[in-house]
Amino acid sequence: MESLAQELLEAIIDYVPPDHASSCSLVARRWRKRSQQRHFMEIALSCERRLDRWCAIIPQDPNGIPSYVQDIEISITKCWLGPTLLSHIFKCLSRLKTLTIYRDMVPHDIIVSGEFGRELTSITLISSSSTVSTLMQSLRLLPNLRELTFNSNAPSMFATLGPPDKTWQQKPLQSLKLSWLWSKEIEFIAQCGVTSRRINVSARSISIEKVIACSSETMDELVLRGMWLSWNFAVWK
Amino acid sequence: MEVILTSPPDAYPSFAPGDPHYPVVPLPPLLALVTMEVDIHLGSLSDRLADFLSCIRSAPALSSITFKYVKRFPVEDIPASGPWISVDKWLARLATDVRTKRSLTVVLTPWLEGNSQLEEWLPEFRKAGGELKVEKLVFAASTV
Repeated sequence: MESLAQELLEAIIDYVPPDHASSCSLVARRWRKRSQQRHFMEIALSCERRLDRWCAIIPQDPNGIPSYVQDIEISITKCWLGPTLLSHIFKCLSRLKTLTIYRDMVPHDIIVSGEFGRELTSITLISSSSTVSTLMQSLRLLPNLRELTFNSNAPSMFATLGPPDKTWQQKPLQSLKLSWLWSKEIEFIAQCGVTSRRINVSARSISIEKVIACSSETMDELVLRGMWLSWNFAVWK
Repeated sequence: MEVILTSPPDAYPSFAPGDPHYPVVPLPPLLALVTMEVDIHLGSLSDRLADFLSCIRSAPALSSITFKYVKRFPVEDIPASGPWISVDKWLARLATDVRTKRSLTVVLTPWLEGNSQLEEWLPEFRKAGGELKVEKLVFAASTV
């Protein structure tokens, strides 16, 4: 085993499922780094216990394990994941490519400061607590963003939105998915001028044509999913 | 007890065909559009979806539209229903679009034996030179 080239060893470890890579890290010192990179490539903060374990890891070596994370899913309620702690976690994730957040806020301040998000290529926001206008301000600052999913923005965020400060300057997204957004929010996204090659729309909103029109020269695939029914939402007896 | 649920203003508004307030906004030509996939829920095409599709006036590169049944399969009377007649005319218009350089194919999936005859579907579209395909539902063989 010792005669095996390091590159070959790492190529073999890359075939190990991330869930099993932690065992590999204990085999030998030469195995450790690649196994840890594999194991921590995708993490999910879905409960307080996992968050505590993660917070214990970060101070040990911010340039070590936290920098291995490429994909994170956060589904912790904000009542015990405060903005300070969340910002601290994000700042250490220097190579993050994919971010999924349920019911929490996008870390606008650290994106603006340039401390986070340079490598991000994909963001999924599910019932985000951030307003669409704040989100769009943040997203405009992510140079490598290619996939954007808005899913069911919280009704409490239904607010009057003025015109955007600046329009979308980036090259077209690869994928834009919109699910159950309010009409004014979809209209705001259209006003920002977001363009995409693939658009996936679930649930009809009166402003969806405006989003599609923005991508009339770039969109090669249109997917209409979900409930496009003639339901009467106004009164249901 | 009477329960009334209301939604916030202008959120997911309800529409009906012929409603003067329905905002049919013609889209600009979708120059790059090659494929479309459309879910049809609960076995029927809604007026709302048919109205939206009619907003697409020109898609010169479009080559394939897939209508995908979700949760329930089509019933016998669908080909003659109002929304399908409207979609048939829309598809015929796209198929005859002089800027279209390739033939337009419509796929209905999944297709169950015992549905309406395929010949009954989208007559105007087929007359305009469009191609209609079905993908049959395949049931897995029982292992019992």
